[in-house]
Amino acid sequence: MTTGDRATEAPALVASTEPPAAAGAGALRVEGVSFRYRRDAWALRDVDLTFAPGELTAIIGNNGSGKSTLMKLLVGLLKPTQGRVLVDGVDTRGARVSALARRVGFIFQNPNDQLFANTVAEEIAFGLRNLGLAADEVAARLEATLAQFQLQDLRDVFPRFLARGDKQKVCIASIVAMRPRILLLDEPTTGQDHRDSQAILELAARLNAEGITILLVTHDLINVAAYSRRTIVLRDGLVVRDGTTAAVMSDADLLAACSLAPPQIVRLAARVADLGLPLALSVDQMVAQTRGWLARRGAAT
Amino acid sequence: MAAAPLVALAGVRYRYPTSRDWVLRGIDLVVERGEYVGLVGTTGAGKSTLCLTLNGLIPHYTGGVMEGEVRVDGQDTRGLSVADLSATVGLVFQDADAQLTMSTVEEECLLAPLSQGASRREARARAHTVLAELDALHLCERAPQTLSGGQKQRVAITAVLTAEPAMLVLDEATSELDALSVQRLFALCDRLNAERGTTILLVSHEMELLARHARRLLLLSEGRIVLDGPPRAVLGELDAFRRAGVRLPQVAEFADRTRDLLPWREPPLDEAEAEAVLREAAGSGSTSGA
Repeated sequence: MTTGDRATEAPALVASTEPPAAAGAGALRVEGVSFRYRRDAWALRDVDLTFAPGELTAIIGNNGSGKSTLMKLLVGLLKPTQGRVLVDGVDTRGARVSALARRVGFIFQNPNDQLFANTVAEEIAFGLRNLGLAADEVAARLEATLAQFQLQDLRDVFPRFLARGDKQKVCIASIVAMRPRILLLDEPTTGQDHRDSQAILELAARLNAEGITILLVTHDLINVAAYSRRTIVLRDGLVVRDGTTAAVMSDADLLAACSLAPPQIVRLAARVADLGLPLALSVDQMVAQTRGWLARRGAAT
Repeated sequence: MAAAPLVALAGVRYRYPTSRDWVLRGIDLVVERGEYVGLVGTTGAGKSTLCLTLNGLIPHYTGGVMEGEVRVDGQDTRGLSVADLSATVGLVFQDADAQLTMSTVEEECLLAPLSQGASRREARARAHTVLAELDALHLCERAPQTLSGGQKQRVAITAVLTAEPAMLVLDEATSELDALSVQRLFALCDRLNAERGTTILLVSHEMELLARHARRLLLLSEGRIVLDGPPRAVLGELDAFRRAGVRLPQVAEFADRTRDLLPWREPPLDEAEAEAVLREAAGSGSTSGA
């Protein structure tokens, strides 16, 4: 039995492999997409992916695997060389980036690449005005967003003076205010400490629970294991795996071939699989599995 | 007379010119030659500032107010230039762009040995050896500005290592490296420390690797060193880590949360040690060692 098989045997802790059918707002389809920058080598080749509304999916891969290119294709900043990308059924080849921005929000890796306004409130209001909303609607959404992200006390602060974690929060707030159904987060935890990383991912999980489709590009596998149910692995422009996070994390050879390594707790679980301990993706799961394992052993003796 | 410690900080306080708050609030720290130290703390704890005091960028270039004393090789850094200090303390920044200035990777890596008086041939030999160790030899002819974040970090590390400093300080120099490159970098530090006696100070969020590789861990919180000792002793102080907002290695967290269930005698430093305890529990058939 492979470790991948074990992963599917822990139904209480590992989510279903089957995403819900793609329909309605918040769906993304990548159909036969290849992309190259001018005459360079292909950055992406023959990619077929579907993201159903409400999914939280991680996209992992080493530097140069094509993660960033895929993100840019999904928000329309790049158009496919071959194939097509559909955002809620809209073909990105014929759509303006500003029009797509209503549907899909992109959070930059470095908040300083995104923040430009003089106050937090202005940063959030800017995108809303760009949508052509009436002044009272802009004001109402601004207040609602400040409250949703608990930014009321920082509304008049110059965003670039904020702590890194708060900057990221303002970036996400300014995008979420535009009510996209899809949110793309590009390496949101790189350069962040544990506390800020947790805050950002908890926020992403909460938005996902509210129905927003989330794509998380990262090389932080501890957080991938803890937060996402589905993981896509890119290597040299190809999708080399699209499956449950449990199955991906169990495949140490696949990860090594992509210069990645499973989190320590996954490695521990793999080492003691022969004792009858099911796979764990996070410390929380490992603690729960250990309790269950000891209880079963106690009952058996 | 015993040689002076490689680095000695006494009562060091520092604040930047633009701030009223002290970033370092009384640091006493001695690092002897050949030590292998990991430094952890949240963003804003003062880790980078502490690193900058070691090669003299604080106070020589930053302005601000520094109190107390930093001695490198027995000499007060106030009386040494950054150039003098760079031969002893090699610092790799978190942001590689701040460090890379030359038109090609090779030129970048020749800079330090040439300025130390090495022949071009010797300098090239040194540079190529380190580039090969970091899997970056193929980048020799590239312009540093055209490299990816991870590649830039590897080149910045190489450029510092070619100076063969007595102490290597890596300030979160792994943030953009993939897992394999990070492991390779830790292995290189191990080798430099074991074979050349290079003193290592690694600032990193890679808790699992620090626990295994470093022989001493420092936890910095709000400008103060709150824990200082061998990894196993330091990782036993879970409350201090939680207060400081720093993540524990996953197996140490697991051990703490199962301490009433499994026969832990000390915090595990890696998955092999945790595995041994789980096997012990399986073998004994008992549910608790407590």
